[in-house]
Amino acid sequence: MSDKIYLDHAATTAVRQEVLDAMLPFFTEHFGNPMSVHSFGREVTKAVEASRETIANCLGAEPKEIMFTSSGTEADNWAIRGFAQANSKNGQHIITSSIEHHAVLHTCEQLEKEGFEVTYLPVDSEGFVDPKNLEEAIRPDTILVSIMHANNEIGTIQPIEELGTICRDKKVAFHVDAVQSAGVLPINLKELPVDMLSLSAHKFYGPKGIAALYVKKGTRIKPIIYGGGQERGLRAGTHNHAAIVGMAKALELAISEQEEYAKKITDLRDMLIDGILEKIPHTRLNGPRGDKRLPNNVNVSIQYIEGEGILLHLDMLGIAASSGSACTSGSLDPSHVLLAIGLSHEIAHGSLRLSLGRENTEEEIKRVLEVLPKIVKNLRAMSPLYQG
Amino acid sequence: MIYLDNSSTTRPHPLVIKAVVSAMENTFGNPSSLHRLGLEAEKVVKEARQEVASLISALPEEIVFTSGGTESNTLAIRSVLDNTEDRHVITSSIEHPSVLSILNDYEKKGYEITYLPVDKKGHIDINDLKDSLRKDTALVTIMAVNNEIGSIEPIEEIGLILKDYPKTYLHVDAVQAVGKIILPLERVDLLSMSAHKINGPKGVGALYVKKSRELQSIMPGGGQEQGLRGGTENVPGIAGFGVAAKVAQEKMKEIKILKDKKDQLAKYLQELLPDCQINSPKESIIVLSVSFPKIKAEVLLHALEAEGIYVSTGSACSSKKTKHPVLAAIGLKEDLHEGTIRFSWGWENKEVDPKVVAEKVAKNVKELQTLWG
Repeated sequence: MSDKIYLDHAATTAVRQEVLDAMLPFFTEHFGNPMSVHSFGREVTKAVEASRETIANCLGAEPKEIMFTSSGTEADNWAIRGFAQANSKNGQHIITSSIEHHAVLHTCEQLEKEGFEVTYLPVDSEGFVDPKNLEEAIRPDTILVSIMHANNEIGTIQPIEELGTICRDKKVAFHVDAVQSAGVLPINLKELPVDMLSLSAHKFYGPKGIAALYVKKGTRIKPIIYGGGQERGLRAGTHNHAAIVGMAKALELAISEQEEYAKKITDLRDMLIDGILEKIPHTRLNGPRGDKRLPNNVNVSIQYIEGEGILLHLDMLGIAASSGSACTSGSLDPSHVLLAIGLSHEIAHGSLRLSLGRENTEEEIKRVLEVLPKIVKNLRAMSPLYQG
Repeated sequence: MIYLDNSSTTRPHPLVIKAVVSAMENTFGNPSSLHRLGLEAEKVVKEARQEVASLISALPEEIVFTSGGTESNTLAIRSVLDNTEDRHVITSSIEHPSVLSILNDYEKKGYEITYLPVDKKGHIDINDLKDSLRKDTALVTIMAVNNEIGSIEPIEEIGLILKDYPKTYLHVDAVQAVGKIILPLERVDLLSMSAHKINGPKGVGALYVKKSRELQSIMPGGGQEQGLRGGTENVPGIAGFGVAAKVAQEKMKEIKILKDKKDQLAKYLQELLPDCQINSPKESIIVLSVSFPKIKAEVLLHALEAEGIYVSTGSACSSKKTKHPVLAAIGLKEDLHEGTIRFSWGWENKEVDPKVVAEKVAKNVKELQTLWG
């Protein structure tokens, strides 16, 4: 990546060449509709089912437990709405956290309008949900808990196993939004007490427009997209089979390289965090340090200036970053995640997310550490808030 | 190889594949990102939106990208019905399963659904619609072109009648119609499209939402698609849809070529097999549904496949079920249901001689009829 440095992998990643190569034959010769009974359809069905098996194997699930959707957002929507509607006679209370992705939060808000009750668990200053809080929040009419594996903005990795165990003990279903962690952190659903889990291909070098929801055998869920009987009648619509093939390939590659990849980017991440905190005064790290932080996430608040100003200057130098999550970056409101960990509006506005990926190098990190302090210095010089 | 199953899905156009691959390789950014890569991806989406809008003579801001026709139908129906007190819906008995199954769900919740019958050519009677309309009719949802027999419904006339019912939404499932007929959008509020039926990629579709109508999201998330449909945009899929829409619009002028081939196939089949029954109405553009007595369509399908001809036994979406609601609705005798084949023409068939197809079909039908007869 010559002089361009891409540090927005939490927003999206570029499709790997191996993934694209795997997809291409499914645009050209194998273009059939998997529901067709002729050989065009059958070949495609075979590829879809083989991909389902690959993804299941990567996650320690059974093929039947993997349902394809069009996006992580759809998977989150489906898990929450589909489960709530199928199980509402057992209770109408749902628990989630205050730092979930909007796909989860907005779905919960919609359900509140429809008569459900939702508890939004607070998080501590590093973004962790306290398992004790969860335990106390569970009521006899609680049917579902939805907590993300790793936060998309500040990289906090939740104690999923502990939270899931509480849910199991209380016989409450547990959904995990693993969009940011799948392919980056190991996920073994054979051992994790999880009933539903969302993952999205374009976050691990797979194509956009394809994602999956793991639905543990025996979990009752209603469809949110109805029709032609695909995905065992639970998710209709002609399969996006080329993308499904691409997703399987991408996850398989990510899992096979996971350990090595995590080690490499953890080193780069820490180099970047240490460098920023050392070289730029009045700066704080958002989210935890160490192995409870996503290996590819850096999120810092740089006081006295606006995150978007930094972004634009970085962009002019060919460095792509983000001021929050991509999905809310168009909005002027400060991030709900940063507010939830206790930041003031003013400090939240000066936040910068740098998310690393497989093609980033030490040289690139050095370059960022060279230019970022200068940008900050210049912006602060113009800021009425900064007293030097 | 003769692929005559274009109503199930079509082969992506080479320019479509090029656009999809280019988007994956060059404009992979997240359109919501503020940096250059994000803006470039947003530009790709914007251009595609213009092409798709242009194909149906809509405004770009009236196009909401979805993951396909089924999601578009779900989005249209759910967002109307979940946000009104009115609980009456009018549809036809030959809609796509994605429409019928969601309405079935609303029926269970206490909504009243009127299923308009169709005549033997698959047309609703506009007077039936007039008689069924009520003050509390929230939605009329009628497909523009039927997927199994190719009948074209009188959307324009439906629209004229609905002018007296300004509150009632008109949704049109145009998945099989786009790129084949001109769609009169004047009174249409919502219209579903799918890219892979017009030589575009799978996994992408759109819902036209009339500017003056406001919808509520059924898939909330990061605020994409004017807040109506959350989820990172499928930029490569959308890019491919845009190119497919452009190509389809250019080719629509020549659509008669495909219709002529379909008509000729019907003519030759009737000559060679006088006992076969054509189910498709004359106006059908690409679909020819034919019933052959005393054969099992699935056996014929595989026999034709051995000859390199690919057809379907119904719509792909219901082809794994045994029932044939559309064939029943047009009054086809039940013993012919299992002997019904759908031939659907597409742009890759421009050089295919319908006579050759008819001859191969006739040969195989006769062999099977002797075998089973």
